[in-house]
This record gives sequence, structure tokens and C-alpha cells, in this order.
Amino acid sequence: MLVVMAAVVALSACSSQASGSDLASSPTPTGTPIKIGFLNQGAGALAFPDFGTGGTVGIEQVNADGGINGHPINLVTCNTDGTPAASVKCANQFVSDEVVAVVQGIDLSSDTALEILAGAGIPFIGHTPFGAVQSNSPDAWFFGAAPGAFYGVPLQTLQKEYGVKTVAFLNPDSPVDRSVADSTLDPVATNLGIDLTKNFYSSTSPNYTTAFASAVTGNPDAVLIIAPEPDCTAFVQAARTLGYKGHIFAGSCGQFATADPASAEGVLSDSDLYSPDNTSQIPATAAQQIATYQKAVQGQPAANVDNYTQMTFSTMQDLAAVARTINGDVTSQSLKTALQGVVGVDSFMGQPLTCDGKQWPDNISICAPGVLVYSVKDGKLQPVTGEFVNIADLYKN
Amino acid sequence: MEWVLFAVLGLAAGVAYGGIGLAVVATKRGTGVVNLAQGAVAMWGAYVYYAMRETGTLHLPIVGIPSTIETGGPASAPVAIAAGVLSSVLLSLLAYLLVFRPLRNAPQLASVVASIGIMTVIQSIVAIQFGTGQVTVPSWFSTNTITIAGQTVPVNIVEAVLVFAVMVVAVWAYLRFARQGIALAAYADNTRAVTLMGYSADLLALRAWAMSGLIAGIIGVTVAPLVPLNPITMTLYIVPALAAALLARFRSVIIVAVAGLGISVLQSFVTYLKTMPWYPPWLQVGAEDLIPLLLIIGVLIFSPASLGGGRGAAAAGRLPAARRPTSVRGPVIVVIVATGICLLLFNGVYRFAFAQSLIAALLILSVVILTGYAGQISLAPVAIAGAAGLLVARLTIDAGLPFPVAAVVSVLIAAALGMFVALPALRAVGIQLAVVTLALAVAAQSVLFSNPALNPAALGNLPPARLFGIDLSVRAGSDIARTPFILLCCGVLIVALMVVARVAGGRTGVRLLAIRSNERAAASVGVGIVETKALVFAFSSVLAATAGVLMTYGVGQFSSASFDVLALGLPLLAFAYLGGITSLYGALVGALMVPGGVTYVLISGWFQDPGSWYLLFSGVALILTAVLNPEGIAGATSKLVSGLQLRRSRRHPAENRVEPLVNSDRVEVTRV
Repeated sequence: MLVVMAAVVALSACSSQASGSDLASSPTPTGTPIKIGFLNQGAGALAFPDFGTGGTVGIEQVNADGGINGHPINLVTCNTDGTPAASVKCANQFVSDEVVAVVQGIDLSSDTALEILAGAGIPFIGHTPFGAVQSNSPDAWFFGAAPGAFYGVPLQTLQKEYGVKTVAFLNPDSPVDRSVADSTLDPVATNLGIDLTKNFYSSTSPNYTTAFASAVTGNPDAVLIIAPEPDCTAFVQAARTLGYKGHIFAGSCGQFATADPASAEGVLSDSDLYSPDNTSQIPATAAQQIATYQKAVQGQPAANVDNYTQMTFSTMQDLAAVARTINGDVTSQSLKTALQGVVGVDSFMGQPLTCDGKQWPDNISICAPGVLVYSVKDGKLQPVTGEFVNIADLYKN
Repeated sequence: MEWVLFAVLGLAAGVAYGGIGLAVVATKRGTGVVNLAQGAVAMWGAYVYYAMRETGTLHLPIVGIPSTIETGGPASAPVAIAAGVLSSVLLSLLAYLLVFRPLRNAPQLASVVASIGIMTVIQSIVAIQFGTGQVTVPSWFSTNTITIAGQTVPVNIVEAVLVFAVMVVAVWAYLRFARQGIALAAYADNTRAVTLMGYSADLLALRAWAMSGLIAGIIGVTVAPLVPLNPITMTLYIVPALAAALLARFRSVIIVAVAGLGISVLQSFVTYLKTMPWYPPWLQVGAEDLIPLLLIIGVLIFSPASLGGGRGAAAAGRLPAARRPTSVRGPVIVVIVATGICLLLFNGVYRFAFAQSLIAALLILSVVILTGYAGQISLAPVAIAGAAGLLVARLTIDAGLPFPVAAVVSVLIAAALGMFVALPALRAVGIQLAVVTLALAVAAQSVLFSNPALNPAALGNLPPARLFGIDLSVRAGSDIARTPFILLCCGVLIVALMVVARVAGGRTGVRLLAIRSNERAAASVGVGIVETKALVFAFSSVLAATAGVLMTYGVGQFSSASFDVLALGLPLLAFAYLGGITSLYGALVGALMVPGGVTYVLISGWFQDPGSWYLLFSGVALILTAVLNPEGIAGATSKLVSGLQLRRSRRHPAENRVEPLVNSDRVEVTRV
């Protein structure tokens, strides 16, 4: 217990130290590098370079902040294309390279990788789980909200704030996407009495306008899109082109707001981190951390910087904060022990983390339950709900 | 009236299908080449347009040396359009001059392989220069909407269709009325007559390739703002485009244009039908990809003559020499020694990569026997492998069948499916068969392998494979490539090599080579075309299915995208050719080079983005092989060894009897 308490106190200290760190004052880490694997869907039809940018820039920030107690992090990046075969290849590489931990950006087949990594005793860390196994695994830790929050909070917000009764859901098509949508949307829709239709489109050759038109054939009150950034932008534009008058919730997306502000006006979005667009009403530490993040991503291609970049960047800082609490060598085992001891510590740019396995029903890997809802005004994301919305109770039983 | 809305919305991709199909027809009519890279050529024009509009950077199709020219800020739409279109024209002309002109007398397989190489190179250059993510392209069309039959539709689609219509009419008029155009159109019908009339074949070919590049460029910049722009989508449009071209018998400009639009509109209708309550849930995924395949099959059934052609003709040019293997000792020893070295010296990812190469060798053997010996340019093996992989996963996890039983049953069922693929091969030959099987592989991937009704996400992992109490799992704990699994793959490959050598070295081998050379002539000397084709398709399918089963065990679960036609199907044919498509050694060499194999892992550490660079190198190697060395690496090595032996025997006539250069085990049928 004492060890856990010490870890929490130290983590809090590290977390706030990293938030507003003065790069010039941080000594350059000179110790033995600590190898961390980074798994991301950086290639293929459904590529997410934005998650990748957050990972690489995030580790640069960690190293600029002095690394892990004087040891720099050596990031071993392995790109996948969302297929189990690619995930297996990367997991094999991580095991061979003897990494201490593997951080996931996004990889829709990473449950396959998790099995291999768990077998080798390597902890699997990320912001959001992208598979049923990893969200409920003793070998995985996630510093962001559960998938249920990203799928369920939009439905609840649309109903409670906007009186929506019928929703059309739009999502890229894959067995994993369908499975996640079924398990996360259906309980909330039933609970709230929302009439939901699920629409899936090809990610290899999407026809956005046709897909949107087919989703709104029943003239639903709202459309909920959960998709990569370029798809969100294309769907919002398609909605305007087709003259759709209902509400649009572009879950987790943010780039659409700046890509086409006129079309994006009034569109809803969400995130489990504070938005960089408006820091006037958020905790000062989080605002300071957002400033650090914005400085770090300066000079990156605009297309690769969005909400997803922020998530991976935050994860890297959270991981570093946990690792800095370890007395002695940072190994897979010592890192696991430190992760298990995280209680009530603010994540970088986000909400308090508690990795006790009880934050979300049947999702023991989740360390944070809530998301914030935003609405686009003048090309910026403005908060709809100032507080993190937690709907974990809707998923009980 | 929602049908009207979906019909109009479907036209956007239809412009791409029809336009790329038209570009395919242009080179087919002018030079007889079906360029599978036509979608990639259009994509390059689209990317150049995008970069010019966004930043004013002119991208050149090269890497490694400075490949961009800054023009001083974002360009206007007309300038960017001109840059995009001219870039495609330039790329098309380069493809002709550097690749297809040297191959003008080569057999169709060489052209197909070279076009796969070009497609690979363009894709990898795009990935290296622009990244693999999707980009949002500024439009040069109106952003307004109009109302048609009570439905609000975007004006930009109507404008794109108008641009397309003008282009189609212009191409039609050129081929119909212009003197040079008539000569170009006539060239495909009667090459000799046109050249006798004083037209230069070279000049006509140049015109055809310039025209095809122009069409592809115009289509690229027209549809880029309307469809997703990434390295994959527009490249894949080649599948419906080829279907449209095939429906037009690679001739009629108007039919290919209408067919392209029609395929896309039908796909859009299918998307609409999916919203109906009665629509079957098991057909929710990939139904759109069935449209091109069903249309082609319909034409095959109801109008076989339109796809025939060429059956009675001898294969053009010199086919890759096929050595009938009289002994399998050499390749088997190579496999055993390599496995021994791997187990003794390799660990971790290299061991796993070696196992991948062993499995890939099985897949390539299926191509060697089917394409190398029987001359059937088929992309079906990847679909058969996928079917077997899915079957073994379902039979093991759902039905609870143990390892060897589930594997054998899966292979047998997949082989039976393979015999069905032989049916179109009875009516379609050469490039037509390649198109049919390409559409089949795409449809199989999306309708079968990615369909949650057949491959649910919760299907999960296969239980460990056991035989006589031995655990054959690929991994356990930190050991990511266990010795028993590698030995299993090695054993299966050795058996496959022995069987292939026996089949290819016997009477069946002679029959396959006769069919490869000239089907009608083969039939006239008593070779049963139907039986022989059914046999070779079944045999090739057994090999592919066995590989599919091992791939699934290698991953630990069924991975649908592992059997993707772009990721595996086309590279398989390419690496088989690169290794040597008529040789057992060639299969082994090709297997070393497949993505994920030994060579890939060895050099992947050199690059930040190994996938794109490896694709680039393999594409270039493929083009060079097609142009300079059609017998592949194994063939070149064999020639070199033969040459050295001959020289040595000449120097020492007393010691060595001079062997004939063409051995009795070497049958080379080029013309009958």
C-alpha cells in the first residue's frame, strides 16, 4: 500500500512537472535508453498518420523533459495496416527487440498483438482500446475513455440536449468496427429509447455522398459519424451538399472544423481531452499542458495534427509520468506494478486516471470514464458540457 | 424518386471507371497492351493537381533525388489541371518507351507483370512523396446544388459527367474521323495492313499511349475532388474499369464509357438497397464489388464469343523457357539446408520471416504450375488460399475439428472451389482470364473474407495445432516462431515440391506446356483442354489452399486482409515472375522476396517506411525482369551455370562430353 501511495504522490509531482516544463532547464537524458514499442496503423486504406505524429512528437517531448529519470526513451515504431498479419509481424518485432512496453496509437487488429505481447510479459498501453480483448485485459492499460463512452455519450447528448429520437450511425466497414458498434451502441440506444440504424461504408473505396445519402434515407433526426478525420470532413460536406437539416455528431473528429468552417458550423464532436481551441474555462494545469502540446506539434504537417494526435501525445506523457515513479530499473514488470498503482492522477490535458479496473463495466483496462462534448462555432470547438460526461452506469448489466 | 438521387451520386465514381476503362482501351487498341497501372497513372495526375493547388509544388515521379519543383505559391485551377494532366501523359509515354516498347513482341504475361510493376512503382512513389493518408483535394467545380426530380444533387457531379462526355465524344470522333485516329483504330484489327499503308507502328503506339495518358490525366483531375484520394482507391478502380473495357470487348469507346457509368450506378443502387428492411444482412458487406464480377460472368454465359479471341492463336513472342524438372533433389536440398541454417542461426523475427517465406513458396508453386506451365494468367490462387484459411478457422473454432482433419477438409473444399474457377478459363483466355479472376479475387475478399456473417470479429484465435501429441503452434511466450511450426512448413513444402516436380516432369507437364502455347493446336493432337485445365486449376488450388491454411495458423487467426488482391494477389504473380515463373528454384527465390519474407525483414530496418521503399524496389526489379530477363532470377542463374558448364567442357573435351545446350528435359514451345 505504501508503495502505491508513494507512486501516486510521485506521479502527481511528475505529472505537474511535465505539464509546464521549461525545456532549457531539463537536463539531456544520458542514461541507458529505455526501449518502448509504438504500434500504429500508419499504412493501408485506413491509415492514421495523426496518431503516429502524436506518438513520435510525444516521445520527443518526454526526452526533452529529461526522459525517464535520466534515461532517454528509444521509440521502436512499427506501422501496421489494420490487418492481424501486420499486427503479428509488429508484435514479433517488439518481442525480438525486447521493448519494455508497447504503446498503441490505433490498430484495429491489435488484439492479436496483445496476445503475443502478454505472452512475453510486455505491458500494452494506449489511450483508447481498439479491440474487445484489450479493453478487458489484465495486461493492458488505457489512459483515455472506453469505446462505450465515445459511442454512447453522443447518443445521450443528442437525446438530452437536442431531443433527438432517431439516429443514423455511419462507420467504416470491417468485422471489428461492426462488432464494436454492436456492443457499444445497442445497449445505450435501447436504454435511451433511441431508434438507431447502423450504416457501414467501404474504407477502401468510399463514396461519401452516396454513403451519407443512404444513411439518411429514413430522414433521421441526427447522424452520428465515427470515422477518420478525412472521412468526417467529407461526410459533413456531403451532408451540406445534400441539404441534410438534422444534427450531425462527428465523434472524436476536429479537423473538419478548420477544413471547412462554413459546413462545420453547429456540428457536434467529443473528446476525452480538453480541446486546444478554447482553454479559457479549463484547469490551469491542463491549459499549460495544452500550450506545451501546441508548441511540440508546431511545424508538423497540418493534416497530421488533430484530436487523435493529442490523444497519443497525452498517452506518451502519462506513460512517462508513471515510469518516472519507478525506483530502480524500468522493466516490463516494474512498469506493470507502477501502472496498477495509478489512482486519481490527472492525465496530461485530461481527466483523473485510476487504473483500478473498475472505471467501466467489463472493461478492466480502462483508467478514465468520461468525455467532453463540443460544438463547432466559427471554426472552433466550443464546450457544450463543461464537465466530463460519464455514462458507465448505462452499460451495467 | 430516391433512385434518381442514387443514380446521380453513383456517376462520380462512374466517370473514373469509364475514363480509366477508356484509357485501357486506348493502349489495347493501339499496341495490344492491357495496362493494369492505368488507375495509378490517373492517380498520379490527381496528386500532382492536388499539390499544385495546395502549395504550388510540382512533383516529379522520382525518388531519392530532389523530386519537387517549387513554383512560388498555390497555383490557379487551370495551371494545376494542366500540370496534372501533362504529368499523366508524361508518365504514360515513359511507361511505353521504357517498358512496353521493349516488350512489344513479348507474350501477354510479360506485359501484365510489367504493368503490375509500374503500378507498384507509382503507388510507392505516391506513398513516399505524399504519405499513405487520405488528402482533401480542392475542387475546380461548382459547390452549388440543383434539384432533379425533386432530389437535391450536387452540381459538381453533373459537371464532371459533362467533362467526361465531351472527352468520350472527342476520343470517339478522333478514332472515327481523324486520319491518324482511323489508322490507330484499324491497327488493332489488322496490324500488317496498316503498316503496309505507310503508317509507322512506333508512331501509332506513341499516339495511343499519349492518348491514354491524356484520358487518365483528365479523369484523375476531374474525379480527385469527388472521390477519396489516397494511394489505394484510384489504383483499385482498375478492377471495375477493366470490367467495363471487357464488356466493350476492348473496342467500343461509347460502350466502355456507358459500361463504366453503369457499373457505378448499379453499385450506388446496391448501397441504396441495403437500407431496405428486406435486404439480406449476410450480403451487407462488399455487395458492390460483386457487380463487375456478375456482369463479366453474365457476358461469359450469354455471349461467350465476345470474350473469346486468341484461343486459336499461338502465344505471341518467346515464352519463358520451361525446364521440365526430372529431379527434385536440388530444390529439396536447398529447402532442407536453408531450414537448418534458419533454425541454427536465426531467432525472433528472422525465424518468423523464414516461416512466412516457406509458406509463400507453396503459394508461388501454385502460380508456377498454373501460369508458368499452363499459361493461365489467374489471380484466383489468393482467393482460394483465403477460402481455405477461413474454412480452417471456422472448422476448428466452430465445429471443433482437430488440426489435421480441419486442414485437410479445408484444402479439399478449396480445391473443389478452384475447379469452378476453371469454368471461366474455358471461355476466357490470356488477359481476359486475368480480368475475370481479378474481379473474382476482389469480390471474394470483400464479400466472403471481410463479411462478419462468415468471419465475425469474435471468431478469435485458433487452438494450438497438435499432431501425435506434438504442439505445432507458431508461438509460445517469447518464442515467436517455434521450431515445430517451421519444420511443419518445411515438410509440407518438400512434399509439394516433389509432387509438382512429378506432375510437371511427366506427361501432364507436356500437356500443360502445349496448352500454354496454343490451345487449339494442343486439342488437335489429342490434349483434352477441359480435363487438363480442370486438373491444373484443382492442383494449383490444393497448393494455394495448403498455403492459406498455414498462413492462418501462422497468424493464429483468420486475417481477411492477408488475402487481399493488392496486398497478396498481384505481388504473388509478380514475385513468381521475378523468381522465375517456370522453375521450382524460381518459386523458392520469389518466396524469399515476398513482403514479410526473409529479404523484406533483412532490409526493412534500413528505412523509416520500409513498406513503400520495398514496394518501390520490387516494382523496379519486376519491370527490369519483364524487359530484360523473362525467365527470372532462377532462369538467369540456370543459364549462367549452363554457360559455365559449356565453356568448361569445351576447355576440357577429354574430361567432359559436351552436353547439348538444349537438354532433353527442356521443352520450349514458342510457336506451333
